[in-house]
Amino acid sequence: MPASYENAFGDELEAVYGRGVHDLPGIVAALNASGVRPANGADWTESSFTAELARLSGTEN
Amino acid sequence: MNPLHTTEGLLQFGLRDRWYPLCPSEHVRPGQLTRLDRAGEELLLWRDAAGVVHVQEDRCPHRAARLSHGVHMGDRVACNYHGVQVDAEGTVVSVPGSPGCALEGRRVLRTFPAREHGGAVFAWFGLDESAPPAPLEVPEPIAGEEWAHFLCYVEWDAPYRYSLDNLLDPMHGAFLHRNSHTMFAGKREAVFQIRATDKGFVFEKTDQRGVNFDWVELTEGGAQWVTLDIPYPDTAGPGGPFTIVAALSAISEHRHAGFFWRCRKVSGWQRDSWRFLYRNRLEARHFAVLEQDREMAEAMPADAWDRENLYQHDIALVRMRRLLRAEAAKQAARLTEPAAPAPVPVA
Ligand code: FES
Ligand SMILES: [Fe+2]
Repeated sequence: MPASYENAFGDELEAVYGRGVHDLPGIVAALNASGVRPANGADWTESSFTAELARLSGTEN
Repeated sequence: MNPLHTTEGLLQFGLRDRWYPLCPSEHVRPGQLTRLDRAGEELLLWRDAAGVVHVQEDRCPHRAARLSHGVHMGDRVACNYHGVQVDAEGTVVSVPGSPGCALEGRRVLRTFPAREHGGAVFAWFGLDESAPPAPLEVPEPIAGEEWAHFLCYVEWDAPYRYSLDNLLDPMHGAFLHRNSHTMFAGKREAVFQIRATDKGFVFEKTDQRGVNFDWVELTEGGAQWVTLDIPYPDTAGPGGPFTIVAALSAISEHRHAGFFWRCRKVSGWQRDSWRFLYRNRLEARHFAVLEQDREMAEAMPADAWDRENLYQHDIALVRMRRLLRAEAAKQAARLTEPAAPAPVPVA
């Protein structure tokens, strides 16, 4: 996965958070209204979003 | 005279009867001998075969060669000069040049109690080195399970006391860091008060909290910790302010090591989100803020403390300096008092 994806995801996440959206359903809806998608191109769900955060946070390594 | 036996020396290098962080854990690699100067001591750090870290004086008990130039032998260190071997307790276990000599079996290498916590190695420097250490009490944000943290480690060309002053001076946030991502808000005028705690004090604004760098707590006891909160903007996501737990140790009169644990009370996906954003972008922003502090501290004149005109915002500095000086004077007196006369034998 290119780092540019992580940066785009980070940009979008900061933008969503910056609008004061801090709840899961709100974040997922806002991300789906943006251009950033998970690797498989599908819409975000709460579980795919939290799984992606777990992966990106490096918690599992 | 040993500077660590004087009030000034203790203030310069750090009081005794304290735990000091020495370095990040990963700086002490398995199988290697690491040399560090901290808190006025010349130290050797190494891990035994089980990975347990040991902190000893970097000075061979034979003729004072550097043990850090020696050989790591798993459970002991061998000096490279004449081969004397010393174990983790500081006991000479072998004198290859003179087997059976009286040095063998003697515990002569100064050895300091060591612990690892929050990704750092700590050592206890006792006033009386034969006495057991106080427990290492770590502040909640680095000890507590509900918190996430990252350790930021720096070395600055400035006395540790300038860095301590900086931490106890919340008002600089609204000026020096006014263009940062975290400290852009809040008043430039504030009234502060001091509140005593069990082991130190809290210095806080009376009329503003959660807006800028609005309070700081100094804890003096078995270690010296400084804790403070800085609010995050909405862009940092859910989880509230971030907390800094700081501890400092002198490297020399003019240089020190700074440990800044950046902590946030977050769990679950919120924790993952913070950890991702921290790695991906927040760390660089926090570091840029810390660089502003470094530039100020390193450029301070050497005699800064000799010509100051302090005002109300500086009362925490005054309190902290008085506290440390009183304790340093007490310790220096204990270190130089003549030994108690031997008891008169009863006939
Ligand atoms: S100085 Fe270390 S063995 Fe002689
Ligand atoms: Fe600062």
